[in-house]
Parts: sequence; C-alpha cells; structure tokens
Amino acid sequence: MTNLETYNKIFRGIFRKTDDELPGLKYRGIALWDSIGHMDLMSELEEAFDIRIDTQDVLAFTSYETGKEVLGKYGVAIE
Amino acid sequence: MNNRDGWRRCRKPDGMEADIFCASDPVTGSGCYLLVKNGTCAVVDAGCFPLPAPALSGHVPAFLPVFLTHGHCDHISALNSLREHFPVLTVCSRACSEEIQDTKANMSRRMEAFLYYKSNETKLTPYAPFRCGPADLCFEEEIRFLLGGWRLHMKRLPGHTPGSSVISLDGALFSGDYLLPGERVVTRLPGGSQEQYETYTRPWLQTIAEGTWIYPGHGREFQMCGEARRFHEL
Repeated sequence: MTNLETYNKIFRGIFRKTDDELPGLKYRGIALWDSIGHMDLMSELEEAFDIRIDTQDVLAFTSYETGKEVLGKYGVAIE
Repeated sequence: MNNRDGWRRCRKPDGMEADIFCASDPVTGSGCYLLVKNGTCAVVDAGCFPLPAPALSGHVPAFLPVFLTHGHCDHISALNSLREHFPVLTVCSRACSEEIQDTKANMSRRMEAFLYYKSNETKLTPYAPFRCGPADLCFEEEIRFLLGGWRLHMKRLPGHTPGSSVISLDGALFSGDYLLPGERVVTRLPGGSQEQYETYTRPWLQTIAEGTWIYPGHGREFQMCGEARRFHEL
C-alpha cells in the first residue's frame, strides 16, 4: 500500500468519506472532524507512519491537503 | 468543610458513613474525589489533589487506596505526586493500568492540542506528556473487595477507553467519564469504542437504580433520574 493509499484509508475510516470526497475536506468542515476526531486522526497517522506529530503541527493540520504538507515535514511523502 | 483549600464537600446517599469531598482541576475540570471515614481515606481518580486535604493533614496513613476510573491524563495527573507523598495503593482494571503507563493511551501527548481546541482555539496551555508506573492491584473485568474499611465493587465498562470502570460504594457510583452532566459519552478518542460501549456499557448503565448518587469525572454529583436517563439515552 502506498503512503497516499494509507493516508486516504485513515481519512475514510475516521470520517466515513469516499476517496472522491477527501479533497477539500477541512477541520470542522464536517461533524466527525471535530477536536475529538482530530485526536483520533493524529493518533492513527502516527501509528501508520511511525512518527510523532508535534503540537504545533497538530494545530497546523487543518485540511486533507495541508495534512500532506505536515506529514512531509516528518519524511512521509504523500503522493 | 465547603470549598476549603480547594475541596468541596459533596452531597451523599442517606446513611452513608463516609464523607465525600471533591476537588476540580482548574485546567481540565476533572474531578478528584476524596472519601473519608473514621479517619481513613481513599481517593477516586487523581486528576488533581490539592494539599492540605481533609483528614490527611499532618499525618500519613498506613496506606492510601487510589481507585481509578480510567487512564486518561486528566484523571491521573496527580498520581505521581500522590505516590511521592503517601503510601499509595493504586487499584484499577488491567487495561487501565496499561493506559496510565503510556503517553499516547493516557492522552497526555495530545492534551496540549486538545485543551487548545476546548478553549475554542484561543489559549495554548503547556501540558507536558507524562506516564505513571503500573497499578498495584489490577482486575480483569470486575472485583469486589474490602480494603482498609472500604467495601467496593469495581467493574470494567469499556467504550470511553478500554480500561474504563465504574466504582460502587455504599449506594454511590463513581462513573468516570460516563454520565457526565450535559455531555454525552465520548467513544471516538484513541482506544475508544462505540461498539464496546453499546455491547457492555450502555446495558449496564441502564440497570442503575433510580435515585443512585452519581459522582461523575467532570461536573457535580447528581441522583439518577428520568432526565439523566433520557439525556444519556439509557
């Protein structure tokens, strides 16, 4: 499974969306992506990619797209 | 003693021998309960523990039982300090004991961000990740025991976390992060499970007798009633 596939799978699982619905998805843009869903998302991403995301980056992770940039800082290329 | 030194005297069931005091952590709002009976003390959750505390000032008990409802950091953040001050005997489910030893499972690694969101993104409160040593006495599903004059029943009820438990004592029920006034149960945090809540926990909570005093992990104590049942869909 590629990093993108893993990334999308986590988003689909937590936010119950299809791949087509992921682009443009934003924090607080849907009911499930609230602060609690965000904690779950960070936890799943950390486990899947074996990284530890700093608080500042947790806060900077505000959308499906910016999340890719955040993970890039940790050497995880989502392409 | 009311609101003295950070401790508030709670209302309690008729005929209950023990006095119950509560202290709330100003940052997280989590409650710590101190039970006092004939000079002996026990603690339920340790999210904060202001000193001096009722019945503990000026003497160190032979041991201090600390019963944990679950392992989230806002319910255990004073546990390490308590262990330094008193001969603590920590009792919780085995799953809870694992939670308190891990910064991810106890959420302390995420608490800074979580509190920021809870403040409506207005305030970043420093919160250092921490872990605690394992509990001294663990149970798998439930345990009934008499410990230092305290007769308790602890039952694991997963859903909020794998190790979440409720604690029954003389008609009082310490519910942890279940049955919070005005807040529905959260099962979406890491380790939480709506399926387990529906399978094990909700059916058990439905059996709580009318009038039972509930001591939640956040907010004030209340008696089980129709309104609470409706709110929590029990």
